[in-house]
Amino acid sequence: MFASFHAIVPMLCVTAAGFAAMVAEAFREKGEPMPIGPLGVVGLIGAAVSTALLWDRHATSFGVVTADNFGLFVTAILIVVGLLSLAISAPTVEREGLPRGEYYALMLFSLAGMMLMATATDLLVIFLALEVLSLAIYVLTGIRRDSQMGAEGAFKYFLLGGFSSAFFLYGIAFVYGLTGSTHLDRVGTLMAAQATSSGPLQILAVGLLLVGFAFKVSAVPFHMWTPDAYEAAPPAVTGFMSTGVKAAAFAAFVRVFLSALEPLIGGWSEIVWVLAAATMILGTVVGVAQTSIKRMLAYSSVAHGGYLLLALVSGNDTAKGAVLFYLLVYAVTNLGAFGIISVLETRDQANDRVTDYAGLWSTHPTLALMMTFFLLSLGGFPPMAGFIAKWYVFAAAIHAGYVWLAIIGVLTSVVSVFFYLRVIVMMYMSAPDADTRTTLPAVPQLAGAAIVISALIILYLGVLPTRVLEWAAASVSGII
Amino acid sequence: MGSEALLFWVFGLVTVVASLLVIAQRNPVYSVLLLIASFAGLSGLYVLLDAPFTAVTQIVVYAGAILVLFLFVVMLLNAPHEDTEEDIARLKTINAATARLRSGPLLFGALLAIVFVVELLWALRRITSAGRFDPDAADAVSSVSAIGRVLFTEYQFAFEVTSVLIIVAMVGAVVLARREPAGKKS
Amino acid sequence: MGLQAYLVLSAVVFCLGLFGVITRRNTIGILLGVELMLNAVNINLVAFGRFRGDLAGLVFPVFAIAITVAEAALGLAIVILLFRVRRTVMADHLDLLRG
Repeated sequence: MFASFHAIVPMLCVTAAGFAAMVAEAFREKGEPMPIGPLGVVGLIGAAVSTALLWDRHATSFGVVTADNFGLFVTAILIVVGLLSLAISAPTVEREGLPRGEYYALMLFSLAGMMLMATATDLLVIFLALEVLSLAIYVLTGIRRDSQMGAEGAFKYFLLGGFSSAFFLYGIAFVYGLTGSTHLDRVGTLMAAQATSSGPLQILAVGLLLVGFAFKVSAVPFHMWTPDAYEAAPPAVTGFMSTGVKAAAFAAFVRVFLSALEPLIGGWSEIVWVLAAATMILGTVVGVAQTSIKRMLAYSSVAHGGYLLLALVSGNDTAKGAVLFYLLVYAVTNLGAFGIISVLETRDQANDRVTDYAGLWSTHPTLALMMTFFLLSLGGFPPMAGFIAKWYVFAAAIHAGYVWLAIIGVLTSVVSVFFYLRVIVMMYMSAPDADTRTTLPAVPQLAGAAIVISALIILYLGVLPTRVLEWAAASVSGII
Repeated sequence: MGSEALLFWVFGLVTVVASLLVIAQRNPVYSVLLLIASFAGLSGLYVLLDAPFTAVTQIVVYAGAILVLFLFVVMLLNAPHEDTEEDIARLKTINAATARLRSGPLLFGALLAIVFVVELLWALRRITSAGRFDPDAADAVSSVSAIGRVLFTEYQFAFEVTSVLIIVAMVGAVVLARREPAGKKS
Repeated sequence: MGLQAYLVLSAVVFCLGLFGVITRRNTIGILLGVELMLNAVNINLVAFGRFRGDLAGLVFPVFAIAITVAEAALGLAIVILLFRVRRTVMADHLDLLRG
């Protein structure tokens, strides 16, 4: 009888860890040290083991969750995101005196929601998962309760999220009205039957879902407040949300649009084309003008969403594999970069201006080196993993005949290198401010280890990507 | 005009007018109260659609819980009216600039909403085949026991996910809104 | 009344909510706009379900209401937090971050 539970075991492990964190906090004596973060690690290891066991099994639970290889690959990415986020969160939680149990519990619940979103095959469940992960992240954004910016960022992010939820729900309502079902494979068959005479109602349904997803992956012009939320949240949370939300949202995006709504591709590919182009261009151009590293990385994250949209619009199997590989590389790289921002932050100072990084090479040589790796990977420099990831995305686009979009992608990548290089030059060439030398804190071991591991992963994926690329390519067949 | 059509117009009008006033009203307390009126209209429409369960849920959950919560927060924060004396004074001093500032989002919002309405109407006008109103189907969809059965069989997993969602919202609301305890926990 | 009538009504309420979210300055007013948008969708769902004679359209709003309520509660918590640290509930006073 337990066979019907198989597909949800990974997210069950993570949810259980979240509850364990809450209970542990509740029964903690005042001042008693309690390893709450490690509880999350235990849950994530359980999720990793079950993901490995489920591989190639194609388990289905309750008819609404399917652990196909596509979903499991994204689950694996999310486990990596979770482990790295927990590691880089520890020093922040200590330093800021954040409510420990709640912080980790919310992070784990959010991860469980992301995993569910990546594996759900019913629009209602996808929507529920989206809400679970969003609500937890709104709270994490504002978790520094004495921070004015945190509260403002949380409010703006909440508003944007509520807005996009409404559009998404409206889209689901029309899909239901058209097909009488919210289950993706039934929607797919019925849409295929109607595709020959696709009327305005189909376009409306697709358009509304598209707006909902575009908000979630912060595509231009729906990116308005993403940089604000990214700047306001503690850097560890920003790292978590910029990577985890993207992975989960793109997984669902691919599942909904490239399987269930594939029959209507003529109706939406042009819109996504425009979104992708605008997102790449605006993310890059505005990113150049930023003086805060966090905001720069926020716009860079917008631009990376554009590259992923480029893969989405290409729509072939190469592109789906490229999305998976890209999400993995982007997650590790970005978490590493935000890990560094997070350890350089002190209680009173964010230390996130580009000028704060002047002379980092002479004060923290290892950190400077790691940051160089991450920035080069984000910019798509060989031999970093970012290069391979972009290469495959552009190759898929050209293969699908979207040459112009690929050209825009390459050009914006080149421009984006400029703002990554600016930071690198600052780190190596400029002398440190007299006072930064003393204010920069010592690096906590755990977070340091996470940063080094991230750097090793992107080097490995950059030099020997074949095995993981093959996994990614193998896991896209038979999505739904 | 049948009595059903008449009721549709009454409830529909209540909903739309109340919603309009929710948006137009500058005093948050009135806005909240008007929202209750709007949702009461919605409930009437649900009854017309043979969905008494949805209608009751709407009233119980919204009027009973959420709008009371809204009112509570409005009172707690003593949220001021928009266009307070301070605002009006500011309007007088930098009249033109402020007016332009205020009318910017207003125009944009109006434009966006109008474009959206036109698009929606255009799309909705062409519906031909989305099913017809079958009076005999009323029994099939309006039975509370049928809804309950489906909720705990077909939608069992979604139901459990909802429980996690509510826990997240609860923990989150407590974390954000509670007062800092005197002397932080170490 | 036909299905169209219900769908048009829902569209109008949705757009009113949208308009409210964009134009209101009071954060609580903005939350009310979001509530309107989310509830407008429920009419759509119930009407589709009724006209198809399909139960799913009536179960869906139960979830939609639960989600909306969870979201509203959290939204109000954020407004309280905002008021505590910023002493304002006006959206256009929120300019620390250069959105």
